[in-house]
Amino acid sequence: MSSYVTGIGVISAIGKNVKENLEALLAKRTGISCLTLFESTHDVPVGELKLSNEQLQQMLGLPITKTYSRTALLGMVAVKEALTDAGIKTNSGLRIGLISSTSAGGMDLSENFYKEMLAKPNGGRLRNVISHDCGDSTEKIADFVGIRDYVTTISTACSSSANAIMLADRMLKHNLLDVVVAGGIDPLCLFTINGFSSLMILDNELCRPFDETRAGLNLGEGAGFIVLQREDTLKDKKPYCQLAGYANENDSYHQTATSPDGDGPLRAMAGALKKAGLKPEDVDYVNVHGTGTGNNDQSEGTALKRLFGDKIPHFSSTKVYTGHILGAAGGIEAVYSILSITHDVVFSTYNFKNPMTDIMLTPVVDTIHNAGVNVVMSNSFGFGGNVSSLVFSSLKK
Amino acid sequence: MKSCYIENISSISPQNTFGTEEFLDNIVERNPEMPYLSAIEPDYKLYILNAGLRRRMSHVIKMGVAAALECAKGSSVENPDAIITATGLGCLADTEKFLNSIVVNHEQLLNPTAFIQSTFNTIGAQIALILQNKGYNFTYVHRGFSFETALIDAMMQLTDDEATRVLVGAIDEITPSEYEVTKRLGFWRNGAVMGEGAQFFMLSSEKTESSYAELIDVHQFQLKDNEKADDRINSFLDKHSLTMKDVDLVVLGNSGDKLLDVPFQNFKSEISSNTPTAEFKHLCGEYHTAASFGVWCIANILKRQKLPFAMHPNGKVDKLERVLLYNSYQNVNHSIYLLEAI
Repeated sequence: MSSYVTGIGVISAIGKNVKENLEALLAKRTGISCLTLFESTHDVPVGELKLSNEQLQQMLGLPITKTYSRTALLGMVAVKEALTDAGIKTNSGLRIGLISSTSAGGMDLSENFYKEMLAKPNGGRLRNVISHDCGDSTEKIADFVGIRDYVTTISTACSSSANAIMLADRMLKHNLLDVVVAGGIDPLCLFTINGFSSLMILDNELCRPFDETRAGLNLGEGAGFIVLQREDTLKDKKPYCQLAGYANENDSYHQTATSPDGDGPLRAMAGALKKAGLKPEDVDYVNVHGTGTGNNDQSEGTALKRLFGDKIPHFSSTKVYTGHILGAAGGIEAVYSILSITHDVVFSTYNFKNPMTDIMLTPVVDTIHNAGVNVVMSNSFGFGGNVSSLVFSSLKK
Repeated sequence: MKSCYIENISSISPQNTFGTEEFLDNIVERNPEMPYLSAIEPDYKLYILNAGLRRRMSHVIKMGVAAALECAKGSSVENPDAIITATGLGCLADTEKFLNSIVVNHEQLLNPTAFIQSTFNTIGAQIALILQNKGYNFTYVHRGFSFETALIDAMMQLTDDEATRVLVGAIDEITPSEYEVTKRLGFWRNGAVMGEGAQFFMLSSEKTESSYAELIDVHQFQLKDNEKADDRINSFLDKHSLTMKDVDLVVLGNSGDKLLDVPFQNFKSEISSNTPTAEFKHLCGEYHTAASFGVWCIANILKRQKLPFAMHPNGKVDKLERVLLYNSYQNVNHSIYLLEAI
């Protein structure tokens, strides 16, 4: 028994809703540009949403005088869209849960608080620190949309929101909840820009996933959530597709790097297929983690070859459009995977030119329409060896 | 859900709880010069053997890793099928260290170590690396629901036969600036004391001779308008075909804050005077995952069939077979645990 996807919501550098994101993906329009929302000495391209917090608050009908973390605001937009899309009312008597995830939490505000506190003891406005922890945005979003039955938050670096989706499915199966909104959020902030910069894995140009010339990732911001339901609560709602399988494994190789033989990623992908009862040849499209770092793409590429052999399905990294949205990447790319099935389309890594010499794999470089997409795999790999893979399948399969 | 047994436990806390056979026999009072209850740290050399690794690890990582390894070592299977950690604020000292370096060094030439270690799943990842564990590895980071979701996740894994042993732990640390900030926010104004610690539990689908207790259920909730905690606790018991009469001991997670502890006062006045109550947060302090210390106490109480004086100074208990824990964090995140003797 698998759960059904009945709603999707997304906000990113390429649009503030599903429609805008889909249009940009189909038109191969990247959202990677200069950082404008705050000052940093790092001149790196980012996938920034060109809306201020104030504009987001206006969009959501929230008082401008109140302070919200960007994390909470981005999440409210995507969760609201997903619930509306699913036609779920939070006062319907169903047990509804929100399982969110983030790597930065309310850091976009607390890093400013910390700076002021360093300058002088008792410095810093308290309203900028109370939303620091990861649970804050989840509770704010739940209040905003009226979810009262269950909230929790996951943080496993860049696999966070894929893991949130797994927990959602398991809670539905155990009949602990009837409907779950699951996904993740991350805002751009100085903390993560400096963190990835200190690791020397930020590209100064547009990232080039799976390309021999790749030089790192571009950070992005946004939120992606999906609504999952058990069959018995669907009523006459026609779902988009099923969450057919998933797996979370630990690569157990290094705190930040993935194993060169792709051992962990391979186990995550194979585990997800096994749980789905599918074979590698059933997969029509893989939305790869594909960050554009030397290590990730080499490891993931090796794992793809080990799993699929000579018959590599269509694959692409949509991070050339959105940037790497860390804790939200799995949620946003789950939405894109679902769109791939429902619109029967494969998205592209449009700027790809040169295959990696040791792996020689070529991602899809042009949008493919009528691609016959029934099964999509979505990969998310994070720090701490945390590797996750989700498999969505059309209702036909 | 299937039965879930606590096979082994460990705790690094402000009390003498680590590497000792005693169970809250000699209570450590708060150092009057310190405004909070700091954990008593073991000699980490004995637990984290790699000296370089140990040096790089922050206080919270060392507490978590040492407690986890000790818990795993004493279990029938050292390497679990899954590792699930829970933390309110994660590796806070490393987070502050990296923020500090951003400001002081004007974003230039930063050392990535603090950034790497600031990630919330660092402790779970380090445990996996040291044990060479390749299984499921999740980290929950939701205030007073972190540990609760971790246990629910573990119980689902055991029920689905996806795991036979799951290592679940909760870890939070105090930093001086966190204390200053929470003090400014008024957290310690009304009687509560800040604390820290690391508690780990090896959960198993099999009962063994040395099992501590059976974890029957965990439930987390937020109160809706006009709803009382008592109603939620009673309906939780009702789900298990029990009433308060069937409970031998109620352990309360009141923090000592006279305003936030109102639901506990209400609950105590609701339950019959025949049901003894005990407390634990005066021993471990208040933090996001402090309920894990309560569960550690209950596991000991049920196995040793002994209720420490420090938890229950006035009164006696007839039997100790079924214990209920009611916890609340900031009167927002409420949770109920039910445990039984083997």
